Amino acid sequence: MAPNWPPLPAAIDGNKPMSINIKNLTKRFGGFAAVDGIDLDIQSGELMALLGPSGSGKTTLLRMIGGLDYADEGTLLIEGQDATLSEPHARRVGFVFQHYALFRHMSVFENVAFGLRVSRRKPKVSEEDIRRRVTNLLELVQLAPLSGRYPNQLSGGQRQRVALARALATEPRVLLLDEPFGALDAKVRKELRRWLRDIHKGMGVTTVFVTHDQEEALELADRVAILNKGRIEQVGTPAEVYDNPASAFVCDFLGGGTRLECVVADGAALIAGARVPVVNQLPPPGPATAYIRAHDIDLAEPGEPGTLSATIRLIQPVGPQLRLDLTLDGRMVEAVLDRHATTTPLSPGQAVSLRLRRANVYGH
Amino acid sequence: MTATSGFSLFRRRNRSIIPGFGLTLGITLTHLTLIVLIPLAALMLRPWDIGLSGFINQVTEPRVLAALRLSFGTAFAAAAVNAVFGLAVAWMLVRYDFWGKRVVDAIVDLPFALPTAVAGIALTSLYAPNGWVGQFLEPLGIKVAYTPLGVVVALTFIGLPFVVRTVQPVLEELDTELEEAAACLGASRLETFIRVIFPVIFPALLTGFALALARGVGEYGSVIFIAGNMPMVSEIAPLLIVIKLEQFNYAGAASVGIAMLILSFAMLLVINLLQRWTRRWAGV
Repeated sequence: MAPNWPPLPAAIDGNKPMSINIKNLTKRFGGFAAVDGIDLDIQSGELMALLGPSGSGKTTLLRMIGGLDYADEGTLLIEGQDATLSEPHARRVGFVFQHYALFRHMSVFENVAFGLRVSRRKPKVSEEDIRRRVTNLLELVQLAPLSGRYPNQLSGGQRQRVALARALATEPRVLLLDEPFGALDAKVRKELRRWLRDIHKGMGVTTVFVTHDQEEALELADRVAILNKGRIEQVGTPAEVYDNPASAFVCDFLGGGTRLECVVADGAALIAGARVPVVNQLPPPGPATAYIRAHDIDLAEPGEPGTLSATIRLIQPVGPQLRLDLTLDGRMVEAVLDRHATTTPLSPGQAVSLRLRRANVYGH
Repeated sequence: MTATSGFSLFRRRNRSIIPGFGLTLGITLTHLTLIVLIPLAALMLRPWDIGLSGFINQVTEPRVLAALRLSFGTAFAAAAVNAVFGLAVAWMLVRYDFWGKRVVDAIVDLPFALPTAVAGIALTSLYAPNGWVGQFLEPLGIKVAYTPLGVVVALTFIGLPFVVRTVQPVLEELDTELEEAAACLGASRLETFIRVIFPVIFPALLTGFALALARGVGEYGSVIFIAGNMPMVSEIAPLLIVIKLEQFNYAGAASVGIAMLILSFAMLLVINLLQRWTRRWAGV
């Protein structure tokens, strides 16, 4: 059943989203550079994903944007103002922690109201305004009936929504989320994903979230920054980075598919002697690595020119797909076919011909 | 037949994956009975030699009342002092890394290990009017040794580890993300401590306070050296019990013991209820 979220408020009054400019930002822990000279511009109102494996520095970068860690080098501008060393509250940033960091001795209502009750908040928000705003936010996150509960009495998805409401209560100009859906099960995740995108659209607040899940990043973000070892490998829209991965790392991380050795010669890439269409810039002649996504493999008529012969090892029908494990030139290859469009009968051990529709090739 | 099926129904409903309930309950009850309940029962039975009126006469003696007031008052004051400074010590040990941290950590346990008489004698010689510390307090008109204040000092010494050791693990487990969240929401450091950290560690602090208090009420060894033991002024209730025993007034000694028992039990019960209330967010 699709969740029936209430209508979203238009952008909160006087709460213009902010752009973020990061220049040469560096953070070292001991001798190890967790973030190593990163340049990144985030547009005002954008929904940006920081994508990378664990240890790539994505969370450290997010924490530096939020003012929870300070950079050793480089500058951070929020709406043109230097915020490199300013305190978190001065940046007007909302931060949603991976494990929510809810105040467990406070009710849901008090958690959300916390940022409105702090003494630094000037002018002071009246109790009536606090009640109205918290109630509105709890309705927005569909938790109004649970406002008296304690965090221990909520499910993971509900806690996540409380954390989000709490971060939004102070009307941040930038919303930062650390692995926002990491600890949730697949169904809740999908629901919250759509809902976060709606909230972002409705409020227009500049949003940056960290994830290690490429599908999440590609589905949700306006632009994706892919990080590896403290550096940015590529920044672009989901379609750009998926279609034209700038490096072998990006290609691999975005579901590069099967890795095969190939040879670049005469302006073409050859896998086991067969020419493969290459989508990216061809590396210099010599041995190279080709990535072929499972969807880019077709079965072909035997003996057709430009095809490769392989052997089926395993056939797995999964929903609308037919997943094949194949042996090609001694290497394992994964292919995904449309189950209903595959009319040829297939069985394990069978020899077949493959056509590789496209590949990304990177030099060594 | 009916009884058997009724029994098996009972068993089925109470089945648990955690084994050994019967065994654990048996051991617990036997242990508590032998170690705690039988001695306490003997204590309760003793004063019946003199009847209820005799008991009331014994415990309303001005000397007994003064001793009880001193014992509970000083134990309360010492536990309160320890709650404040023990929290500071625990905070420092958990939050900061400094040279000699391990040593400081070990020093905290010394009051547990040191024979209490040794502690009492050491504190007395320090705080006596001609002692290292006492000589500076004397001109200010502050007398520590041989006064109720001396009793508080001794009980503070004895009770410190209880507070530190109960608060420390809770502080260690406190997620730093909570403080970061509070900072992001605009709370100052002080506000973060008062509104985010303190409510979480308060139940543990209360436990430490209760333990220090209970220990202080029953403390004997260290106090009798520093207190001076003047009847009506600096004579603690446990000492009065010993004095009554030496005078072969067994029923009188037991009466004071029972009075202490009832007061302690009532106090610990109140603290326990208070603690449950402060932890109302923890359980469902």
